[in-house]
Amino acid sequence: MAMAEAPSAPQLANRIDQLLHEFQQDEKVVPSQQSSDPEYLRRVYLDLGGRIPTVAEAREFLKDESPDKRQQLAHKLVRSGTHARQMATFWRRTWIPQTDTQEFRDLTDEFETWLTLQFANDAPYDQVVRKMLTVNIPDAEMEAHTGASAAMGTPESFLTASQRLPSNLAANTTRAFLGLNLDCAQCHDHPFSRWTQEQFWETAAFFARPKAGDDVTAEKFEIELPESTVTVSATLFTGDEVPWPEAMTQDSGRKALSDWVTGPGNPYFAKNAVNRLWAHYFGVGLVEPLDDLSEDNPALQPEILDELADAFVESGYDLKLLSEAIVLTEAYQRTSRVSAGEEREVDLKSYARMPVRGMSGEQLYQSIRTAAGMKAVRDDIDPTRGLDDGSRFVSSFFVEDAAHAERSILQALALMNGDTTAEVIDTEQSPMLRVLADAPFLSTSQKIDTLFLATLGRKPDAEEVELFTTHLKESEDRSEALSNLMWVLINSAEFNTNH
Amino acid sequence: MARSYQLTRRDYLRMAALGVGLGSANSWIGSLAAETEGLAKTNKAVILLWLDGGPATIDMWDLKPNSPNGGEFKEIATATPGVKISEHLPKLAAQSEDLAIVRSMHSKEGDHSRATQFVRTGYVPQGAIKFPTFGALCSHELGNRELDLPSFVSISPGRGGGSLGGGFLGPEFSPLVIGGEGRDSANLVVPNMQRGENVTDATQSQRLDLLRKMDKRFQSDRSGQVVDALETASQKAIRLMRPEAAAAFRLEDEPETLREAYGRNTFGQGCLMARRLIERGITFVEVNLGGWDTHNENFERVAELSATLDVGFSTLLNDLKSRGMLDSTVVICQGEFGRTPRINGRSGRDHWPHTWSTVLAGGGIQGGQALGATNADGVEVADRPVTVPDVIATVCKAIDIDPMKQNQSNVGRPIRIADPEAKPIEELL
Repeated sequence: MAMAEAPSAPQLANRIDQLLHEFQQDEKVVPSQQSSDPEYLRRVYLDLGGRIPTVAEAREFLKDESPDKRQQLAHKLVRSGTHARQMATFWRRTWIPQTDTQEFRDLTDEFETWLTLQFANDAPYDQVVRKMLTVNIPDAEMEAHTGASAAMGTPESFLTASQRLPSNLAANTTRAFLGLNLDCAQCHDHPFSRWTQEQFWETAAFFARPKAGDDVTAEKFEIELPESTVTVSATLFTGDEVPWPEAMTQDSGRKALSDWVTGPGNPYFAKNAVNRLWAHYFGVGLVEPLDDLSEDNPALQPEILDELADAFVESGYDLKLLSEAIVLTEAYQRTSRVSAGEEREVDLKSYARMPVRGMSGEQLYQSIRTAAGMKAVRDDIDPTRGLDDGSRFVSSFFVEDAAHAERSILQALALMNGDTTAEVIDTEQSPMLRVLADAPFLSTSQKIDTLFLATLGRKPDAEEVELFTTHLKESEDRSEALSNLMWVLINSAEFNTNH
Repeated sequence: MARSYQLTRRDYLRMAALGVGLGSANSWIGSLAAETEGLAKTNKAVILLWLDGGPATIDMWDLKPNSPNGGEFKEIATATPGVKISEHLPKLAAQSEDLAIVRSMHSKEGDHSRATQFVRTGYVPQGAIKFPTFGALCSHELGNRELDLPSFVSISPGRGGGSLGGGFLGPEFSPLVIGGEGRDSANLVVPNMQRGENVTDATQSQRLDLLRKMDKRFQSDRSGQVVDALETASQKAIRLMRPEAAAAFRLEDEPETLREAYGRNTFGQGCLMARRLIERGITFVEVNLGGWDTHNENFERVAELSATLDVGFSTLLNDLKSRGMLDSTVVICQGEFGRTPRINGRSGRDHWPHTWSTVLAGGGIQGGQALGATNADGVEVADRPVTVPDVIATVCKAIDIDPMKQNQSNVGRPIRIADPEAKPIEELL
């Protein structure tokens, strides 16, 4: 297929800016100011890298005077290992939300390991999805999957988490990869859209497995409706022709559905990826709810969705292009501060101001570790070790929806008094505190500067310097005082949000 | 949605004005001596005994001994003439004068998740509306904000229970969840309630003072739900750390004989915890007893679960009564649906929302009666059908909440506490 050439990330960002500008003019929306450098720095590290910047990273960016330093940072971050890992967590949660429940939690590590390797090796998005859907189907283009090894992980988790049941697979495939919610049609015709119960089961029929043999034909992929004698056969709910393979096997249904889902002609596949990524960066999707891309529920800014989806297809499903372009848009670079004269509450979908978002358990854990100068990456990949402190922390700080994140009393208590905080404010165990305590060449204000950069990615203002200096000077035990300041910063609302 | 944030903020300001929370640096070490005295006996409160998984009420409250659907259990007489219940609930049978058994419950929701949402919120799931759970609604109406304890507590919630919270009322009304998924009663603690061993009162005051100042600066020019939620949780956590508040959760302060009487299991000890919390002015406590999804070996498992329920529930009623708290505390005992009257091939019963029973007690509810009836083989309601919203409206009346009061929802339209169709069950009031 002849493809138009894909735009560069800055070009794509410009195009989105223009479209959003037109929308905001029509709607008479006056956007907020641009974010300050420290504000942008922390946000882009959290969104792209899954953690706050280190002191060194913060200092380097803040002192850089080149006009395109944000472009350079975004370019560098989307190509970093920590971004591959952050995206693995993001897509794992998007595609297989069951892995955040007790029942399927064990699948998390093997799947994220596999995804991280895919993303680190620049695997195109469509290929990644195809591998998940066609696991264990021998194919000329793809080497057969030879069992899971802990080091490589496995794409099999998607099928496993659906218990390989045709009905679960149909519901999860359409939701995860097409942004369509067919589940309601499982039991009755969908109340809001055009999907019928029959269409749901026709989709499920692709996952049926007829007996192996020479006589497998398209008609053999059929399934019985529950509590009825009606049988339906594999049919696409859009009315498209099924791309059956030439040589039919008992897995041909799954293969054909996978080819149709990930094919460039599919009207939902690219848009779903774009919409979910957009929601990751802005806290709200271009289409909400995220699993309802049906024609009855159009985007508020359909041109932006189309523009990004087209660029995604043209680029050969390059996720990095999308992420880099989105974080370079003016909308993403807006401040989260309410300036004088502005409304306190604004509609998220007008993109006039960046909302203050909650952090995921992973982001919070890795940021706490980063602030203390400890290794940010979870080193609990070994599944035989069970849930260690890090995993426990991460799952107890699970957040469903970042823009509407809640905080429970138990979470607040854990952050004030729990093990993870205790470790990073311990003057013996926390590398940051050890360095600060043992550094005679650093003045008090330099120490406070460092603590602020380590936790909040910015320098303190005059009032904060005074507050913290007073505390340090009044304390008999300097290292204990530093530990208290670390406790305050780790527990602050500013540290606990992505803003 | 906007309205509920404002409420949170306003409430916070009110709290600050009262001098609690972070209002002054040393306030967190204050005294609560007055708190445990006097308040409880007049406070209206609710305890929900939640039977997670869908209990076979046909084997508990509404037996069918003369039908092939009847199963293995025998009926026994209760203290109420003419009312019989399962042989595996002997202690409750002796206390039937406190119980109102509603035998004619019916709904359409046969899926665990949807049915749980329906019974716990009073509304079937609808698109984007975030319905608050009944505990959140009660705590919103009646919760005492001067308490250091949260007004809604959920003890070892089962599946799906964790996702039920303040909904459109906001996170302030979500429950404090205690007790994990384990069955060990030792788990009924609030984790991380104590600060580090080396942290003195003076240090803690300094930390909280600095934290308050930092947060105030941050909040001055940032807005939204996430900022409010952090603020609320942080305030509540700090209040809960006060030693007097923390003491509410100390089951070890109860006499050993009473702890034994409640049953040495998570449910029994959870019932005891519920009484301690209600006594201290908390509005709504949920105690979960899971394992009722008896697709297999129904009779073996229901007999075992009934024994646990019988001991915990009956001791709770006695304990509340002896402290003069039963008249102001409604106890609800139910799950998300009933189970098929027909017994399946694995001696099990499957999901069945068409006929099931709910039991109410206390709070002025007229006990000593069985209301409504199912037909001879238990498959349909034969008399006085009752819906989930009817029960919610009834409990509202018992605790002096107007069930038709409206709250602003997250989709911009007001929603009543109970469904507009709900009718309080007059026979029980």
